[in-house]
Amino acid sequence: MFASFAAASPFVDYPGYDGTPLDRVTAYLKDPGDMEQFLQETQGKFQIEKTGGAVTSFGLEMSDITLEEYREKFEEQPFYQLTSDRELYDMVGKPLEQTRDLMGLFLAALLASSLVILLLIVALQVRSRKREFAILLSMGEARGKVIGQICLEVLTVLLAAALLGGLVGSVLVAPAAERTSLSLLSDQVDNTQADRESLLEEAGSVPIGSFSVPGDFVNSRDPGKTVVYQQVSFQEGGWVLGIYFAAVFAAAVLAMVFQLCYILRVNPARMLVSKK
Amino acid sequence: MEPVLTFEALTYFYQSGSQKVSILEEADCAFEPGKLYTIVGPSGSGKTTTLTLAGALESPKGGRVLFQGKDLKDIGYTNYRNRHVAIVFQAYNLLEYLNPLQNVLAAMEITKNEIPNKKQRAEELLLRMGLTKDQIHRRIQKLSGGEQQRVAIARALATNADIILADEPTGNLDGDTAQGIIELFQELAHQDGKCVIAVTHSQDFAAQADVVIDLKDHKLVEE
Repeated sequence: MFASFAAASPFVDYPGYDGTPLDRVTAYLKDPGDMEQFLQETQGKFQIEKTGGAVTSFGLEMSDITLEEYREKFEEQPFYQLTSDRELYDMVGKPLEQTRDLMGLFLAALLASSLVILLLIVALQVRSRKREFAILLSMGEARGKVIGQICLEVLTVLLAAALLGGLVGSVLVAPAAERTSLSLLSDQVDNTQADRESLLEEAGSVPIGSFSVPGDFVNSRDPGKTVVYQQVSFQEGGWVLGIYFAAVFAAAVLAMVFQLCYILRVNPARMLVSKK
Repeated sequence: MEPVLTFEALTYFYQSGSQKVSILEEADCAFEPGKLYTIVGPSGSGKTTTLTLAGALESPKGGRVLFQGKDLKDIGYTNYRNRHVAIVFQAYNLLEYLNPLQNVLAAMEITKNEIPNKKQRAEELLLRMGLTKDQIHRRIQKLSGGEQQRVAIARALATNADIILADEPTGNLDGDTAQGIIELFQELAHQDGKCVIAVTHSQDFAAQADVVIDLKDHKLVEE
């Protein structure tokens, strides 16, 4: 499991722990089938309970033994290990974070250019409707009502576009983004696999409170083989939706202001009467 | 008869670069209901500008335009255009995304004048203008120039305006069609009691008007 230390910090709650930040937290499961449950339930809710001299939780069993002692005792009963390691996280996660930041810049540029294109379309559309506005004004329609009509049109179209865009994004784009994220993570993990194994072996004999030694890894079909379990979830987060709708709102305001500046300057006399 | 529209020492000019171009200089004129007026004059003399002043599309630089004795500034230009005056343009200026019936109904929706049975009245007006039942539901672009002008006149009538202003209403029409339009304006003035003021360079149109007003030397002279 590759996660930031902050996500794994709820694991660290054992007697004698003084709150010093740790670089590695390792949890063990007896069965890889327990993994989903473990991941769901340890999101900030992990509680360590003691039974006898050992700390157990969700089938976890931890004790203060060294790697060699552990292997002697549990050789026939391999435990599956989930490791949260800052250094490992940096190796795998940092490039992905950089990619994410780059994509953020790309998204910002895309939003900005979309706004510019939108304003150009609005400008062309308003130009073609100048005569319509002048006719309405010549018939005695109040300028404020014409402005209100324009605002209503802009808001209606933008609302429909925002809902449709959100729907398309959620249904079509989000799954593709999740697949892409997983693929990127998988590639990144493969690239750091060798480095990671050596790091783990190096640190494997250091006891961390109740946590013990590395064993076989989750999702390994072959207990002798080290496989990294990859978990990543595509989280839109409220802030992403906030940015999306903020962009929609900004587009609506800009489009309306643009048209209003135009309509306020329409002179029906100049537009409608014959030129001599 | 009391005039419905009066120009009182009306003055209008515009700036062309550093030059001041005078259109009207303290011009006086009165227009009565039930008459067809034509304003004639050489090209560029300011006939259309006079019409825009009468229609409150422009505001005078000096003097006043009075409607039933009240200054347009006091009535409010938008309110005046909404309730008391309707304009027929040379280029028709219909809303092209609406059919003729909808164009007339749009004017009825905009005006604050009370108009009962709007749809029925709109249909009657259009049929009176010589359009068929099929034509009133047709797209505007499918109508001929004369038919479009008739729709524009129907739209002008729909709001129960007291004054009908027409800017070169026959300018884009052939002889027979133009004559039909002229007769319509006569009908509006004589039968409907409207004050119809048309700007035209057509001698034929001017000859059939009740009153011809010549725009000469920045003054309006009744001939």
